[in-house]
Amino acid sequence: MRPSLVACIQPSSVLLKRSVWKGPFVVPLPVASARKNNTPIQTTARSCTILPSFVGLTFQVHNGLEFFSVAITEDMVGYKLGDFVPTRKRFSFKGELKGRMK
Amino acid sequence: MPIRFEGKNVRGNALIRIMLENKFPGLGRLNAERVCAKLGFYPRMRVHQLEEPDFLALSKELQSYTTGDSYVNMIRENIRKKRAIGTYAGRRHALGYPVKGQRTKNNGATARRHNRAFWEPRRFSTFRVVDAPSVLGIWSTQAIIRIGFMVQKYKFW
Repeated sequence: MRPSLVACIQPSSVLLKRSVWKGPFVVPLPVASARKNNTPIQTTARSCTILPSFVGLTFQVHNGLEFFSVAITEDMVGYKLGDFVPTRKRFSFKGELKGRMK
Repeated sequence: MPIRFEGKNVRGNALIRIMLENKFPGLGRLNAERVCAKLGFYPRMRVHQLEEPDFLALSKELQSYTTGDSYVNMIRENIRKKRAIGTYAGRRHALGYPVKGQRTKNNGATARRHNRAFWEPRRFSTFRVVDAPSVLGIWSTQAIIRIGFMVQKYKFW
């Protein structure tokens, strides 16, 4: 029998992302105090997964140069914090910018 | 000799699994083989060897998979969601660049081809009038589309 026919039962692509027993990758963050004081959380942990408990908070995520504010909504759960903060500028010529200013 | 199946013209002498793979986007080789195995079509069987009940069983089996337009729409919807919340991947899709960390110094052709043209609906489509009155000829319809595009692009209003 062909190997492709043998491999009839396979997990879905969602399960193939990361082992379930590990859980999502999370860094300890002052979520509780931020919710109480209504302050933004400043962090450099761009690879931290956004959990459902983060929804409604504001994060200031490092982009390599400065801290960039991101308001977390319900759709963002499951993505990483760094997904929403670009680290690179798009290249543009100096002359182009001047032209736009006029 | 073409055979009608699920609203598509199917070549009679094509292998069944190849026909499924080519005519139903989103099914893929593995699922096509899986469907054939489940319904008892041997791998070298061709479309013209199928009887009427076989076709019925096949179309019933295909309903359990997301194929065709619904598959394309599903992917479009996923990409639109990523763009709406502003993830890195969504931004790369919008720019027409490779999404999964490939280099962009050269070789971005596949991304350029796919990321804008195929998954994003045509920019003109919102302006196309489906039930256009017969008064409007082809040229005037074209003109309306053109003006709509200009309005959108250059902000003339």
